[in-house]
Amino acid sequence: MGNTLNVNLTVCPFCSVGCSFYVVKNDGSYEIIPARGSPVNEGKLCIKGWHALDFVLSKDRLLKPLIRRGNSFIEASWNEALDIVANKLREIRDKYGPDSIGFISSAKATNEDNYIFQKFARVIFGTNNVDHCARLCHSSTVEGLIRAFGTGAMTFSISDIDNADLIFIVGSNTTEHHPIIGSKIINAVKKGANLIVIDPKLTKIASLATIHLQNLPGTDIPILNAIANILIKENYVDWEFINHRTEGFDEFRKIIEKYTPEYASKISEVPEKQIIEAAELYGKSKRTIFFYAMGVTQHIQGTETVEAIANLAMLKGNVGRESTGVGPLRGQNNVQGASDMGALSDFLPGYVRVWDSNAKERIEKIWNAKIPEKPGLTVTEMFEAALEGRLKAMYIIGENPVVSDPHPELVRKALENLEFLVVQDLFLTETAKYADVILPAKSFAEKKGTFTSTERRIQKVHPVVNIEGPLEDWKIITLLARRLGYDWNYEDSDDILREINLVVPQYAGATPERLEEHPFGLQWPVTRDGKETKILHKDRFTRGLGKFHAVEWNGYVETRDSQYPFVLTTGGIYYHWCSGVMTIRSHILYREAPEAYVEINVEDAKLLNIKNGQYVKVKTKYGEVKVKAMISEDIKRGVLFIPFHYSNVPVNELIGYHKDPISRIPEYKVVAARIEVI
Amino acid sequence: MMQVYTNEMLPKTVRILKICDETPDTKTFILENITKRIPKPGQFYMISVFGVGEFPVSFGSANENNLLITVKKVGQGTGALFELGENDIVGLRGPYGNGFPIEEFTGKNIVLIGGGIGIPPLRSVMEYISQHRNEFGYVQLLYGARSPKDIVYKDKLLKDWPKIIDVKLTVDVPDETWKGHVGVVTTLFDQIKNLDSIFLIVGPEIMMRYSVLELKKRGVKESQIYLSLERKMKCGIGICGHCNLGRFYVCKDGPVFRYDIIANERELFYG
Amino acid sequence: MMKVYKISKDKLKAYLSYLLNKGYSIYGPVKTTSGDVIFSKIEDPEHFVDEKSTNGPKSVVFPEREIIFRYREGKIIEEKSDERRILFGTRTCEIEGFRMLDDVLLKGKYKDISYERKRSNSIIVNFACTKACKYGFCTTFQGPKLKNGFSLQFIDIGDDYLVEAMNEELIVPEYFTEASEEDIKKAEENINNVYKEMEQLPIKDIEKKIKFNDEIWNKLGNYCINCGACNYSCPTCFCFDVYDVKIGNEILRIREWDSCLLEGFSRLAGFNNPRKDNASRLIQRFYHKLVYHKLNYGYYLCTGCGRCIEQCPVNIDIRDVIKYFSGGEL
Repeated sequence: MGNTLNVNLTVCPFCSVGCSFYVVKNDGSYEIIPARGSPVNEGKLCIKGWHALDFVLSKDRLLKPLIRRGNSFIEASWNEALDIVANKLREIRDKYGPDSIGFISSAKATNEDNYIFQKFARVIFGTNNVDHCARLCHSSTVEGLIRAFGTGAMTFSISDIDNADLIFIVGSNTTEHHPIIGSKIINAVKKGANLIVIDPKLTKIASLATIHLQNLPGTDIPILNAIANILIKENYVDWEFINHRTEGFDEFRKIIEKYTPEYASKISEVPEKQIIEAAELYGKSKRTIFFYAMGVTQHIQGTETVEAIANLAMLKGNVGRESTGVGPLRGQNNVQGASDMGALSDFLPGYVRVWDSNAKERIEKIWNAKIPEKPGLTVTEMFEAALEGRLKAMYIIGENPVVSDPHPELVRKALENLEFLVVQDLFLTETAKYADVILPAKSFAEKKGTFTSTERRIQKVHPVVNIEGPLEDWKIITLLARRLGYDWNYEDSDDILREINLVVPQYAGATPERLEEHPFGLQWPVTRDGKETKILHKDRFTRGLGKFHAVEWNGYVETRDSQYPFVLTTGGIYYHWCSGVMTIRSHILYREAPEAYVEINVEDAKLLNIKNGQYVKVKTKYGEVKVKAMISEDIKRGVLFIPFHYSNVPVNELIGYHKDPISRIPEYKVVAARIEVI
Repeated sequence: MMQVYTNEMLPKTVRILKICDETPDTKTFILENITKRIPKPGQFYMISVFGVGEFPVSFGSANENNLLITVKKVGQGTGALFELGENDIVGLRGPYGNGFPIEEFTGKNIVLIGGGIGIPPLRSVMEYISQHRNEFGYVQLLYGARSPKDIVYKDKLLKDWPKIIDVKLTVDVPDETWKGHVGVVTTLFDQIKNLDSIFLIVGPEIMMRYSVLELKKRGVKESQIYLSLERKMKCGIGICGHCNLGRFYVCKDGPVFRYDIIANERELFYG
Repeated sequence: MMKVYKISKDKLKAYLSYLLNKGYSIYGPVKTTSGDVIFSKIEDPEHFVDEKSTNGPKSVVFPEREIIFRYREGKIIEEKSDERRILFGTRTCEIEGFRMLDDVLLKGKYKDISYERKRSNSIIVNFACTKACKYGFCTTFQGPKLKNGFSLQFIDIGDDYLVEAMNEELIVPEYFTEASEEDIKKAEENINNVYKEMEQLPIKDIEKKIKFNDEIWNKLGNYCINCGACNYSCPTCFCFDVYDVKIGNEILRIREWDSCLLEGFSRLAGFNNPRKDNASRLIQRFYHKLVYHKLNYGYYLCTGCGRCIEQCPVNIDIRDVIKYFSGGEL
């Protein structure tokens, strides 16, 4: 390129919206400039985006490998550290077998990093014990949407929001967690679109809704089924779509008959009238977009709730058309990509089931290796296995399970129980403190590679900051592979992307060259000749016919009683990200939200004589935390909310052991609790 | 002649000479006065605990060698200051702000009204008054604390000042030792001797709001009342914007305001 | 005295090369491969474009984040690094912003030394706009052309630029020729075109018409997502935060751009806050621009660049606010 400035474009590392920005350096100070040309953020950013380099430039970055010596760490050279890791992992594999090692990949790492890491686990160690945090946030999306439509991803594009006449949000605090998508929804509402929000909290987006259904956490299915019921009764449905494009309708219809508005209202505590109004609003809409997030997925019935949303969309033919569709709002910036790359214990790259020997053969050929048919351990199962002594070693990239996974105390015990733990990260996280070897990784801002956003947009990032010391994740893995006797000769992330083009059909045409030509990315599936896909399932669902699932509400796993009269639910807030590792290192972001709190309804607080800002204890059957009370009119009575970002208020110690049997996602959002004045 | 400017954001390093406890959560620090400058009553300094940050602090008393500041532990910065000991180093710059226009009060009666930790600026005024006692008319000090143990500058309030002015104390919550007045500071207002006085009020914004209200009820003119305000401050020199109150920078145009000038500001008396 | 020259557009890149070869650091609008224009260090004259950039030059003289001093072993060490540079291709709305920053940062009782150093080391080569931009409304204020405050000012007159020179420092006979009366007239016409193309807002006496008690603030407050873009992108916003960072046995005192749309901006210890909701924060921002600064300095703290409109995710538009309080609809 002769007359343009290249390579200072990157993609925001926080949420999955995929906003692009440039970075320029003046006299040692870096400036972030939102990319006007990006069809995603169109020259805008949220507060986290504006501060996306703060953690990159943090004084706390790890610059040299660290090796454990007793209770502390000593600095080591890369050669030294990599030798130890390679030798130790080989030793453990040889002694205990391939499945004695667990690999946790990172939805913050690039597609190339993820691809190489899962290949490392599967080819070199012969195990499917590779998983990542999608298991904890959207594994139920992958399962639910694959079952309903055939592809576990958002069916439309972010730009479709513009022309939708109804936006239907379930369990997503959109302006806080996907702010730029949230802002587009706000703009659509300003232009006249209707908005339905199902959420136990009166969030900002709920405050702008035409109808806000403020339900009890975990009661989405009865509401969604009741709305479907009304639609069919009132004949608001698209029979042609149902007859020609779907299957399973009759069985579904039978099941939902009992979900009257009255029944749903009783379970969810949403007034009957509001459910009927929502059904009518949806019934009359021509183009509806559904968004949902972890308020749907992180439930014991997460997969089924996703299916219930898919049912509702299909009833009115709201899939495969412009400005319609089902949109899971993924969490991490590359959780879509990490899933696409097969960093999941039951999927190979491109969503090939590990037990599907026919489909698998093609990949085995390219890899020149046999892949085990047995699904591996999931993230949470790995810690259980480590506790029981079945898992002897773990290799964790860019994850902080000691804070983010259920039951930190068990995770800590599990990590202590391991013979060998490698952590590859930017910082000495709570998890890294348990490692035997810590490898310093480059951040998004220091490397080349690709990220895939929630709308399946594959975008290339470029190094915009230079920090001496850390290495790219893929590079570290490649160096280890060579030490383990594999002549992996990737010299550049582009070499890996070329292999991904071969292995992952959805990425076939997303070549390094094409992604340079399309700096704001291409949406998968990208055909070999470079055609991208804005809308999935246009004339045909990936699985052929869309499938209605007759989903039932199974009742609460944890019933509130006189001992535990509240439902505790957890979530994130605008200024922070996940376990807080990145955002507490930004002065402004930390300043905005320096401490954890428990949000409690003003009436509940009155009854319990709790004052704003006072310390209280929140207890469940599983644990307790001490935290400040925040009295609010926005949260439903009988519900408590604690953000999960703060390691000094480890809310994940409070949640139960229940999991969605299909996706194996833990139930983070509903646990019976009580609150005590200290 | 060209004026030589120095970088005003650079503090001087000064030693903490002495620390004494005032109340369970309030301490007085005596610092070196390196610049030898004597601040005006009501001015403030920016104090740094290096590695934690910088925050504004009013002084209570000053001479060429020493500065006396009194701080309540409320946040990170004050918390870190409390961790320091005698001979430790802090950063200091200032004095900043306008201070009380005390010379203008010559010949007048004065009523000082203080609440809680709002007392240091009033102490700085008292130092001036005690040095120039015959330049002023009748002087009263009305001070309210939450409880007897929260009274700051007990020696001054109970021993020194009553010798030269009329001091009245009150507490919200008495204990068994307390024999004095009980109630918020405005309950002392019936004991105000001269309603033609100049009123200097320093304390929490809510206390200042009710004080102004009560004074106005008694016919006091807005222009007789002076308030010293507290806002978030980061530069102290009228730039960074955190202390904006309408068109004013509290750090530069204040912290002392004649009430009639700011009476219509919508962010006054928040909370 | 101002002199007037002209330079052929063909020679512009060569002139830039000449300046680069003379050893100047040059910052200006550059075109990225992805098609956006950003204000950045110019390494290759070919990258330069005569267009308004997304970010503008503010960060060159007033960086997003800078070290005020280092504290080590009881000593305070001032940070003084800076270089002599040319800001080439700035827009009038940006340099007018510098003038306003000067009033606040340099002309008060205390000077902002760090800003002064960077500012006085920056030579301004301004490009007056001859076309209205989408969100801009500069004709409501100073217009598209600077009256002073530059070394050179370029005005597009077709095949050439008319060049106004406040001094001869950057004038090189090889590139510049004399301008004719006709060239000057053409430049005037082109500038006037902007006045014709751009809507002029009813700004007069807005400080008397705007009201605290109005539903608009809650309405806009309900939309605002507290991203800070209106502050970060503004050529006239100067508010900053100050904090310490500890690295080993060294402490850095940093100052960083702040945003008055954030809750923590005005929050005091103990979570007391005189400005609790979005409506109050929006009032502060708009009043600062349209009322307070006018009262203090005699002019509105806005140059009509339109960046706060363009970069606001929820389309909060200062033009709408001005029109609304002048009797228009929202």
